[in-house]
Amino acid sequence: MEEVKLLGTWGSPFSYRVLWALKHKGVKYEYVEENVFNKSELLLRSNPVHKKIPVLFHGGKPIAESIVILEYIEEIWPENPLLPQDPYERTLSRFWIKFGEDTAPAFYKFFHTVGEEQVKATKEARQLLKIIEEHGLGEKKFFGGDKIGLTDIAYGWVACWLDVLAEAAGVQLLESDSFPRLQAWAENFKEVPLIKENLPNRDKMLTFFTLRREKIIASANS
Amino acid sequence: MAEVKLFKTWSTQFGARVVWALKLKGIQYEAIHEDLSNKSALLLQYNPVYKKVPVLVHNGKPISESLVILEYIEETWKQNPILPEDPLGKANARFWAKFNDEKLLPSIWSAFTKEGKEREEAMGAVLESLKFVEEELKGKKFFGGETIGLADLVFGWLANLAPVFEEVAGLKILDERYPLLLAWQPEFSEHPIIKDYWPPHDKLVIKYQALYEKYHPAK
Repeated sequence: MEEVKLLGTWGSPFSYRVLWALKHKGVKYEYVEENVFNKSELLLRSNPVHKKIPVLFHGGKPIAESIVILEYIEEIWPENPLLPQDPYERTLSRFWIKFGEDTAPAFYKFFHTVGEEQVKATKEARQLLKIIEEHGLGEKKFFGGDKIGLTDIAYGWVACWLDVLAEAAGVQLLESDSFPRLQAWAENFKEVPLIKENLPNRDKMLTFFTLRREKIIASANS
Repeated sequence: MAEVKLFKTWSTQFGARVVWALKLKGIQYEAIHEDLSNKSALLLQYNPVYKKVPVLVHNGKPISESLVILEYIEETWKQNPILPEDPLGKANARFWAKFNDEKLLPSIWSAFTKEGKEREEAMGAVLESLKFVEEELKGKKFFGGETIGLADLVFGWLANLAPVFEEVAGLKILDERYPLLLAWQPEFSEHPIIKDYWPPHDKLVIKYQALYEKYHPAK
């Protein structure tokens, strides 16, 4: 059995995606916390292109980019599959995963902007949530159907990080009256034992993101 | 007989990737030409989220986003694979496809559309990125190894469109700093399958010249 190691950070939704997938499949792994403010030799050597976490090591070989890692995990450990068997359904999963990736910068913009720009960015984020709710999730309980799949894991940040970021940035985003189905999905997602038992501490996250937000405001006003 | 349709334009590099993949696997398809200034009702129905080309429709089911389409093609038609068998090799190909679309292409577009310092910075980013891409070709004829793979199709614009940008915008993209990429260009563009679907250089120059003038109106 080849050794598995995950290089991640405590507060990163990208790191957690990989962690959830590994745990879902019952894969034994070693977790190594990276300090992104003082990047290790290991990180720089294993991901020289992006210099980012997460990086998965399997038998010493590094794989970078969380979505690429998820596909790798799915293939190496096919038990407890996270992607549907049907090729078209798999494609739909991949489409929605990609949509989340492609729109992420637009999503996080509300956190990085102030004033008028923030108002605009918040509006755009809500429009994206609407698309995800209507076209991606639809009437399903989870993106994966009755059980969580790779798409749910990829959107985990919407369920577990978005509200913290929104609170730190002083905006409203995922309220139940605006996005009832997505809100219900977020609640169900957080109740899944695997997820519930593997989430960063909310208070710690709020403190961290509030500090980040203060720095952003300070530099916007300088 | 399975029905395959592809919504595209004559110039789209994203569409070209899909055409090349279909041709490499010997899949017959019907090309549906879209006028992006007047999108068809069918395109909007098949791709309501992005409203873009390419869209592949297989037995009436639409698939959008070129990388997603390529994965579908690879899984549906097993002959002449564009991904290696080993999962690590697959991960590597996917990594570079993402890198091209998320880092390299946005930088080159910035360089094409911006001016002055912004253009300079964007080109700087392009050249930095290309250093990594060049490295990836070490010891290989194609990104896919001995045969064309996913990454080759995704980097295809470097052979088809980059020379157009060089001509129209005066950008120096692939030069003697990238000998492996320079060697890869004709290997790719002269491959019989690839050659058979090649958005024509002259026509691309006219199109991008007009676009360049829009972004850089004469003062």
